[in-house]
Amino acid sequence: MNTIVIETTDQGEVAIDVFQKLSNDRILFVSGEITDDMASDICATLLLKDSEDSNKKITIFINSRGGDIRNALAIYDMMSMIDAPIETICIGSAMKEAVILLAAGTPGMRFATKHSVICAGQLINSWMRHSDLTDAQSMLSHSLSDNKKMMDVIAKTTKKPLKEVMADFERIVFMDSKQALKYGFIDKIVTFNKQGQSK
Amino acid sequence: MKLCESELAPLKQSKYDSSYIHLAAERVIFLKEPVTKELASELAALLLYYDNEDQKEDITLYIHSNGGDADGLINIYDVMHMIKAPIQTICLGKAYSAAAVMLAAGSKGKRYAFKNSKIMIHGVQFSFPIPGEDQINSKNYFNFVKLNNDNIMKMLAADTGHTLEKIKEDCKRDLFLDAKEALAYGIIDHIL
Repeated sequence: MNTIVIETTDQGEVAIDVFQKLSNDRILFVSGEITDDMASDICATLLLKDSEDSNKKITIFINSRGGDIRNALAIYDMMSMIDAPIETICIGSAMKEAVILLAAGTPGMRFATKHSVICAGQLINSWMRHSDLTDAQSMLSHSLSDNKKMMDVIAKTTKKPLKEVMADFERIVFMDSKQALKYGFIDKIVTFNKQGQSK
Repeated sequence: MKLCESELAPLKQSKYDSSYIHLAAERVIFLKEPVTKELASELAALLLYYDNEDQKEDITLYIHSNGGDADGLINIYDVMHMIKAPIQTICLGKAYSAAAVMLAAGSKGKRYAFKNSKIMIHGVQFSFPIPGEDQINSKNYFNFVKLNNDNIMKMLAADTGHTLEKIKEDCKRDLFLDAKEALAYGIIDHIL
């Protein structure tokens, strides 16, 4: 799809990608699978925008069904590292790994649209390899600790004990924005006015 | 080894297919395929049949196999120990993995290997983790395989006379043995 828009500047009219333009205005998009490329793009932009002005909020729109936990945690770490307040808004869905990005927004600045779906659950294995017990043991403890890290983030951001979170999300749980609000993934269900400003 | 010579004789004089029929009449079983669940059932049935025929005379099991399924192995192993007839196991070429455990499971003093045969023992190999499964299922599956592995290690420990710890340590990696080393390790009793 063509996402090029024309912007009028002092030098005249220039073609600019809409996501680029939004990112200039401190609005980022996490959409689709959280890939290596996306994670580094988001991290780099967060760093840049933070260095430009660390008091002005950065907005992240999330519409993702998850992805690699490594990348999700990388973005999460960057979000917690920078000083600028981060507003997260879920549009569409924030599932599995992506849910930690939504919940990791600055407290009080985490939103979801009325019809978005928020989903949390254990990490699901996506690959396999031929192994013996020793290798399997180390792979298992690695993925268990990844799982725990993700649950830790959920526990921390929703202000619930880890044990409770572990028990709640032992099975995959789908929530609408109301249920997510109740659980503490978000602080407010957002509605948009015609100008696109959240209220 | 007079018995073995006589058993090998039909192989030389007759066509490939019929040789097995001659051998079957002499209570000789050839294991040349990977140990699958299907093969395990057939082998178990054969052992039970020969045992039913005569509980005094030896059953001879020639092994030339890459090994195979752990479940299949446990199936055969239990039948080998249940029947009363003595079982001669003879390694012909190679006995890897599950096949090596079967070789070691022959009646004591009746386990043989040819001079140039190769034997390899190791722990259970499996694909892990299973894609699409969550972490608790992964953990349960791992524990199940570990239990299975422990059972097999116990079998090897009992048959070779080594301690369970030594077997577990040795089986962390593929342990390749030639006939002489297998004799020293206690997997076989004689070299042919």
